[in-house]
Amino acid sequence: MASTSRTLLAALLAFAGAEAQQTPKSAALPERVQFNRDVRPILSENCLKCHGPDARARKADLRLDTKDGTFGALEEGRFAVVPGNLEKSELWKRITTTDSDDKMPPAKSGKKLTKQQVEVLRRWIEQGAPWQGHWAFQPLQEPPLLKPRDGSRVRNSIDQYIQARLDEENLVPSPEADRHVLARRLTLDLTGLPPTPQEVDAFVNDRSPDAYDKIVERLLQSSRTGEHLARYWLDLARYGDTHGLHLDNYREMWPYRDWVIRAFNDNMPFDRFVVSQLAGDLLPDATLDQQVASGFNRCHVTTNEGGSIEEEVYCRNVFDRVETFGQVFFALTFTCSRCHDHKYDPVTQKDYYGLFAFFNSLEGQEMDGNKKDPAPVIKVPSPDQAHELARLRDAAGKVEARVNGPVPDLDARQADWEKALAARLARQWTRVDRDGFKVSGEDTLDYVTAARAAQAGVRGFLLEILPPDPEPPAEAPLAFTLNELQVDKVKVRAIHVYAAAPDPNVKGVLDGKADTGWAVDARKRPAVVLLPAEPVALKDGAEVRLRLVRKPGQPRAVAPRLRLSASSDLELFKGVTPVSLGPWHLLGRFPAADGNVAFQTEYGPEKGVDLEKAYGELKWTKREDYQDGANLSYPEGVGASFAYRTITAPAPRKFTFNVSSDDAIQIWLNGAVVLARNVKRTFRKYDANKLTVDLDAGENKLLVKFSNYGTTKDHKYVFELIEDDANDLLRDAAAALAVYADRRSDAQKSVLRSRFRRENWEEYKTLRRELADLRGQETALLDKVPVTLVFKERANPKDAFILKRGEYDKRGEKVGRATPGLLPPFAKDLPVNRLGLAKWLIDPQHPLTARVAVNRFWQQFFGTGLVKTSEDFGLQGEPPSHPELLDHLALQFMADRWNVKNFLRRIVTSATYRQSSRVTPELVRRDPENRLLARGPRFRLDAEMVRDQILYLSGLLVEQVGGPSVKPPQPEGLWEAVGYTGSNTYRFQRDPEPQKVFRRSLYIFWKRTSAPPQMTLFDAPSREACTARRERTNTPLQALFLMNEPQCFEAARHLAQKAIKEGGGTPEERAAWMLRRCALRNPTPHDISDLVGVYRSQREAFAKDPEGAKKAISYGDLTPDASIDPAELASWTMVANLILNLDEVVTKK
Amino acid sequence: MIDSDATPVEELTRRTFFKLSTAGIGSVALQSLLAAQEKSAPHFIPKAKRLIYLFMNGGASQLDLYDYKPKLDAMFDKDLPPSVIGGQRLTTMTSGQSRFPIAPSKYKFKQHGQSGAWVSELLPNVARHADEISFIKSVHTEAINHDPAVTYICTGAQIPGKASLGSWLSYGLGSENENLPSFIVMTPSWSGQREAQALYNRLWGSGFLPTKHQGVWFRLKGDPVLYLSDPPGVSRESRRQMLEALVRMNAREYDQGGDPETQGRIAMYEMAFRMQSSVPELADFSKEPKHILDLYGPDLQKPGTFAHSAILARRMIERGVRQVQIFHREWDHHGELPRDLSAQCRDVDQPIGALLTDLKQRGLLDETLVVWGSEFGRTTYCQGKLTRDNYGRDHHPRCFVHWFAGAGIKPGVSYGETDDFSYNIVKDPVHIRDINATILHLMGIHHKRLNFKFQGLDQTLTGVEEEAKVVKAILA
Repeated sequence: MASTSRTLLAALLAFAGAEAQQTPKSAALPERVQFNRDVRPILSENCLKCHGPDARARKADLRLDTKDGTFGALEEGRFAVVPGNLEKSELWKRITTTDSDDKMPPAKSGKKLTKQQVEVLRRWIEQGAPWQGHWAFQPLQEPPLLKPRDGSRVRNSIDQYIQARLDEENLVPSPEADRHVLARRLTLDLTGLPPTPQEVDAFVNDRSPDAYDKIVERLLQSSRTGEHLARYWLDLARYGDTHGLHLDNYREMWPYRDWVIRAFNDNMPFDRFVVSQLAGDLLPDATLDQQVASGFNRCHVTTNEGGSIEEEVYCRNVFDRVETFGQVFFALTFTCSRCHDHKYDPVTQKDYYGLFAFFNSLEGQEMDGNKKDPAPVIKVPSPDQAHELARLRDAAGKVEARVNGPVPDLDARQADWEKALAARLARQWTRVDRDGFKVSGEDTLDYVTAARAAQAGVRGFLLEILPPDPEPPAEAPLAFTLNELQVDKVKVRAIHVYAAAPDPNVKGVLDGKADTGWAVDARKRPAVVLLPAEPVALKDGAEVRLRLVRKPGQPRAVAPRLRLSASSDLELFKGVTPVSLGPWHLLGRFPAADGNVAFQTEYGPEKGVDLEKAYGELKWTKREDYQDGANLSYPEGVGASFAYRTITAPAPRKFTFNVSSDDAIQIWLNGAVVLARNVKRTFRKYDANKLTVDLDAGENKLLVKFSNYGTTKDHKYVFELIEDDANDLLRDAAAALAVYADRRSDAQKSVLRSRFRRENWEEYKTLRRELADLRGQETALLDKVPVTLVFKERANPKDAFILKRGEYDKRGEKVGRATPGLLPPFAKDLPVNRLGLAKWLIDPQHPLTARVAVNRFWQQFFGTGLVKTSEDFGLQGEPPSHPELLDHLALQFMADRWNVKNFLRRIVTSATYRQSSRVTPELVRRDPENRLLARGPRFRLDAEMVRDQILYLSGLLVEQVGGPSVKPPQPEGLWEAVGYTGSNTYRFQRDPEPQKVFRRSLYIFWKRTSAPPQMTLFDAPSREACTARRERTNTPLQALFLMNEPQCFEAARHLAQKAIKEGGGTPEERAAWMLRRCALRNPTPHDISDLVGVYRSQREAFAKDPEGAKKAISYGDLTPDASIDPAELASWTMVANLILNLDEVVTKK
Repeated sequence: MIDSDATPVEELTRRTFFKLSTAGIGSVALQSLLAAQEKSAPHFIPKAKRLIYLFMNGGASQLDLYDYKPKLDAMFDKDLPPSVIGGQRLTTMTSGQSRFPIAPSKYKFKQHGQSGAWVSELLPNVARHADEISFIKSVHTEAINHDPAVTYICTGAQIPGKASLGSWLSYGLGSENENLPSFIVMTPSWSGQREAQALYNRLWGSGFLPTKHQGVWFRLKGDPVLYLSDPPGVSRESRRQMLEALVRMNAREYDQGGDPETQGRIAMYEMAFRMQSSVPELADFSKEPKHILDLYGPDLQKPGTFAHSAILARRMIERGVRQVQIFHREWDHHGELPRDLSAQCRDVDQPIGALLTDLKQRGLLDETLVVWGSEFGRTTYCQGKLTRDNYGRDHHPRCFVHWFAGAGIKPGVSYGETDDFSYNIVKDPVHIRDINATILHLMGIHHKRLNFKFQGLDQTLTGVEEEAKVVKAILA
């Protein structure tokens, strides 16, 4: 079926997506075998699974990853390897035997040594079996500077190593690239964007010796550089704008992204960059920036899936932190050792959990709550916001000082009031029980007494629990759990701890459930106040019965003595007298363009509610059926709606309630703003605003305004009364009064002062209102201040255990914080926490940190690292192509105080980097991946660069550093197709503003379960996991994108408009202008004839199809330039579209 | 296989493209072709050339569909004996329940065909094919929540980052055609309740494999493939002219730069251009005969339905797409199971029956493997309120049902058994890894030998260390 040419095509495609290949093959066997380069990879790949670090999997007690193991005696006096002696080397026998039982590697392993590999092993043994430790774990030592034969091509030390190796291979370096090419390559590499033709010309015409260095300096200062360098790091940090699992809701993390950009732009030394991210929160006096940086360890995916087991989620999150740490800083894969000792690298399971212990003590829930800001988070205000916040806080502070500060004559009156109140409190309680209670029973204790005197209208009882009289000896148990308290014939509506700290458990004694209760110690003489549902009338001599139910099976506590008092004084209870809530009245909807407009606009009720008033068509409607605690609806649709009710209180008191709502909410109490939150959110019943307000005596007016952003069915709210806590008079005031005035705490003083001033000072009300208003403004502003997830250590670190088989519920040995044994020891003076870990990492003795970092920088410029497997420096990774150069660079980097920009400068000013990238057939054959660097780098641009370049060339790119992520258009339905319907990233809504949609790609909103197609089509990762290196493939879907995607096509039109206006009068001039702008070279006559040919044929076709032309130029967001004939513009648009699709344009060469 | 009717323009383009794009092909491309052959699967003669995977996302209830448990009727609302639950971990959605009352299926089961397979009344059309299907009733997994469970079965690991089944097939077997992607995914609409569990691009992602192996999401509304349509006003002719010049200029670039990748890019544009006509042709089923259209049921005419995706699946298979995977959502029935499950079954039953019939009558079932399954099953005990007619079920990873039909399958088999409660497996357990190993086996691949070095390990679909076995009993 397939024709020959199709087969060839398939071959081409296969080639285009070139898959993993080995380091440059030198066909010849190495004369002198080098253990690390030649032998270790063979042993690792074929032998270590059974003869490696994992003790449990080890066969025949032989390990070939250590020197002792390799050369030590085996059983029966045999040796695996005897240097220089093939015959006595068991290894040699086993790999060459024909006996299938003895043959190594065994057939079932699926591994087989090639002839070449067998030959390498033979030579190795014959040459005396020299051993080297694994290169990556060896201390860094300055290697001898290699000298190429022809020193004239050397610009810096990089070239010496590269060219010396080329000499070995009998290859010669390529000549320096054409200046046009070089300017483009350099600008793309340092900023992610191409240069302008003017910039290129300036360089081409600058004949000064430092012409090149000047551009390098200019580019390194550009703020584009930080943006470009940041995106590589964001792949490692697995940065995204959603949680990544299950609901995959929005997560606010972009301040971290901006921090990374800033760090690169400020040329932050790499060691500080590392420390801030691993332990910014632990630095002494950590700055806001350092805390933001600690978000690195919060970027991992998280879940809140219903049914998840928290411990499992916790382990999963910590696994991710540990493994990402290993990837980013060690380039080692730790995952294996989660379940057992590593099969290839000397990392034990204990090592793994030693690191786990550094990362497991997050102060916060590991489940993300589906919130944008699962704690710990911090607010990151912009300078303007910080200023405004300070102003509001200052103003509030001043009002507060007035509210709470000294007012001499008032304070004098307060002292009298306190005395009176104390006297009254003392007097108010009248003893009920005549001569104490008679008690019977054991776990259920019945107390009986007779009332001492008649008392009418009892509003509260004070029950004191006392030790028996005389008090039993100290060892007698007097503590027990009081599960139930029953009062005969009286319906008790509430119970509060009296004159002591509140305890929510106390409610358990009234709930009729035997398994809830309150811990009581009669020696501490606890007391409670019981509030009857209705005032009670006590008759003289009436029988009073109480029943205490104690948790059975406790140490047999001695039955306590009880004392019961009663009070009828309303004054004493007014703080907890029930309020009466009027029915809801609703008004709306006032339509608005969006929720924000609704929020900002005043519609009338904000100024004062008049239930009779009509607002155009709209009138208040009464909703008697609305129940507190239920989901209530307010009028549907985008705009503002109001809900109003009265709250009547018999006396001034505090009042606590929750309101949850869809989208923005404002609340007024008696005309003063008590809450203003301009938020756009999905309705959730428990996503509530808990508020405590001061009610005046009599009728209070509560007005709520809802500003709805969406048209969906979420137009709900819930109002819930939070049960009264013991009011300040009962508990706090009584407690405060019980203390001598000069020994009261500030809190106690404040309780009394606010109580007094509330009731006796006219100005109090005004000041409270002012304060509420300022606080309301502060809350509203804080809602707009971005937050970002940070790392924060718990006060008490969690224990860590080895988890058997990596399973969260199979705990083994407890382990402390420790670094892997294969690496240098952890210095004694370092703190044993993440800060110490980070410092250990950047110690100059650490063999990995610098090697790994410089290799990744190298990879950015040359497409492949000196170690190709930049994510794996372990035994299974590839050895470096230029080990000496790698070490040299790592040492230089550290000696230069980890100066990143200096390092990049070193790379781009090397002759190696400046070579032409032209590929000769010989190089294709000998070094298809360009590992030897006999030519300059040449490969397709990364996803971000592809898109950014198109926007830039067309003049559409909007450059602004940082800020919230943006949503350029994407095809409909991508999110819905996968999203959980309840997710807040279920429906994609593009941003309308050009200032957003034409931003650089690193600002595109990254939904991790459906990453932006503009990015993933070009091999960008999903950001669900740490990615050290992107694949680079070519697919037809990329061609479709570049030809047809609306922004790409609109950019082509924009470019065409420019060409028509600025590019000259003739088609030839315009074509040349356009090609020069995009490809940054001088066009050939062939180019011009091809481009003009396309222009002419399109022009002819569009002339016949004016409608088509209009459609073509109207595609996209912006209106086309009306001064240009549509057919003309459409034709040039197609030419621009062609140019933006050219191989040379999407390729860095 | 169908040769689409190429228009003269396309014919011309095809020739022009070839003339240009093969200009520079030399020994390099041939070498890489040879290398590719050396490396790729199959490892033995495949039984199935193509795969249609029908995935009921959310966890279809085995108890109400295939795993008939007549003894439960008498145990309505009785507590599930603790000995049955054993030490199993439950999701926190039901682990706090004070009791675990048994909820027998309210649906009638009947035996069907010669094989006498038990199928519930909810799936009459699937039941008609009972003799072509091989049921595995003892599938199990470890994951108990959706995200990890579905990621596990689709990519072989519970955490993101691994390659999906279809990507492995694409990587191992390459593409059978150059007009269409080799791995296509569809996500049709559903009729149960609105809330549905999520899917994730990673379920058809390529993970560590090169991105070109990732599944292409075929949209049932709008452009079937992203950015397929030319912009409005741009004619095919216009596009062709632009592309011809593009190819010429790229060919010159190749002469200048000598980079084989430039040739690859030329070919990529040719394929893109061809896809622009082959994909719409594929998506347009209006010329199918009426009796075929009727077979798939009335939903077929509604874009985006399961029926719509089912007929497209057949058309894709016919055109050499290697794997088609349909994810039907909303099978997560914690409460009101009968209401939603019956609606879901109505969505899929007739189209699945039709698909099997359609494939068979075209002789395609002999070379196509059809798999039906879910990420886990559901509990025998009720979640929430229980009545005879209404109940809910929580996630159940310990036993659930997959079925296989078509190429290489021994039809009419029922493999594996569960206890009287459909709670524990009593015979022949089949791990989800075994399901994947079996699928690979049928496609001619040994699951351990199809691997890719990543992070120092030979990654495979069935895991680096775990064992997996091919379920031989269902093989022909």
